[in-house]
Amino acid sequence: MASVPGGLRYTKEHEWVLMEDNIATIGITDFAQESLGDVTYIQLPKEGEMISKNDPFGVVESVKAVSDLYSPVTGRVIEVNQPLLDAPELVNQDPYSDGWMVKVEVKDTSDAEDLMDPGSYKEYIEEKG
Amino acid sequence: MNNSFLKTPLFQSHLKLGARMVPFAGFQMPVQYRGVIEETKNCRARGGLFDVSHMGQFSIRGKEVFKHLQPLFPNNLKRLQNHQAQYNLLCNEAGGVIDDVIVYRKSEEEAFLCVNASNRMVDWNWIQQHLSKSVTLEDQSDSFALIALQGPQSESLLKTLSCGVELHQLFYYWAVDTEVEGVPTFLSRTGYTGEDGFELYVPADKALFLWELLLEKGQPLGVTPCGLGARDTLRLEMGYPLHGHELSADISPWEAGLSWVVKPDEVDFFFGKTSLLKQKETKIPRALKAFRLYDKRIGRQGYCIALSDGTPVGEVTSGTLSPHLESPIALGFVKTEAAHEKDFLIQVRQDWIKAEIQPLPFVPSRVKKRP
Repeated sequence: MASVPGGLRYTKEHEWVLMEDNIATIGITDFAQESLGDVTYIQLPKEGEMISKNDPFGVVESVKAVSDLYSPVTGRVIEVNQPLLDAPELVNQDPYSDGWMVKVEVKDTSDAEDLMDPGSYKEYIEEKG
Repeated sequence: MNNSFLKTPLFQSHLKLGARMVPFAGFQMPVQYRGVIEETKNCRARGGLFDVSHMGQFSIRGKEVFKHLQPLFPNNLKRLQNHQAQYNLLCNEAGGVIDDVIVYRKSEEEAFLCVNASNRMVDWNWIQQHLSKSVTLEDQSDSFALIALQGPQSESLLKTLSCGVELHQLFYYWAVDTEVEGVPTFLSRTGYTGEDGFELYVPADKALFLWELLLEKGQPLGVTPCGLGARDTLRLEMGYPLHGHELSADISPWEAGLSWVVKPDEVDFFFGKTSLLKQKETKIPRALKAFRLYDKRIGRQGYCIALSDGTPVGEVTSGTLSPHLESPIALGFVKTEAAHEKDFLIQVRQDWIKAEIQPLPFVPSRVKKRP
């Protein structure tokens, strides 16, 4: 069973977001990395770029498939996980820590509030799986 | 998952092994157990076990059965001896490939066909329509499970079981009816990975027993289960075509690089012969080419292939990351006019990636051919 840590919010497209004050850390979930299989390439925005809630902000590619990454929040990218770009397999090994993707400075700290909490996301992937 | 999908006799074992199941050709099939790259590498280094029970099997029996079958096949069935297998095609009258199949000659009066799962019905209808009624055609797909054991440890693993045959005397594209640990098995030294290996056609109700035994005895030899993901990567590294990608009813064997299968000089009549000869005389529109991409991104089915100056000349049919080359590889058709070029570009989303023509196979074949 895919792991769904507490304290995070989840999108229907299987991104997770951790809100700390006005900083959102974004990645993809364990369920997402399992479904994708071996991740071979990740494309992320550059530091300073603006990304918008529900819009694609990057691409994750596995041996079998290509998927867009959808932003759970609106804001400016303040940090990109550089080691991840060189070692995309980190997403498979550790989607919630080493596999994080970007940190975003959000305008509206309530941006993530409409997303799923861990309980709802768990139900959501159980229906899917 | 949707219950309308069919299950192979090994379904429960896949779940126990933690496989990720996906719908394929109407079946729920394991796409991977531990990861496509790891499984691909392990199959080449040690060995892999594949459930390919979704594939179809037809038995055709009767007097002069091979004479009656010949009009359906461009490869010369007369070349087959008893217990021998042959890679062959079913072509339509336009010379397009309905399916690629393996024909076994079990005896003078019995042929056995292994066909692609997704084409089983189409093949059945085509054969039934065009085969002489003096021979009997039977769909045995549901009675058989098919286990593929591939990789350098395959023979060593089978030797740990009672097989009733001298395995070192069974060569590539030969097969024998035998018993493996008491289970009636049509044991064939074939596969679609480029590695040495076997395919075991076994009764559906005995398959789980044999599969679990192979897993157990395979463990100390490092032989592990492999999913359809690894199977696809392994066949792509060999440049083997897959129907629906490099082969279709609109693609001729000339285009797909399968001229070695078509024998118009040896076979008086087969469906598609006239069209294929005409195409060869006038113009073969496209050629299948193999590419290595100098990037981390994969060129996938449908992506545009262009010349270095950006002129579009074709389309990718299959692409993956080759674990052997540690680089993306692809197959694709390019217009004949451009087929002599060495350097191409493949469009991956908004970018054009350099793609270099490579000779096939990407990985040297290690099948055990008859000396």
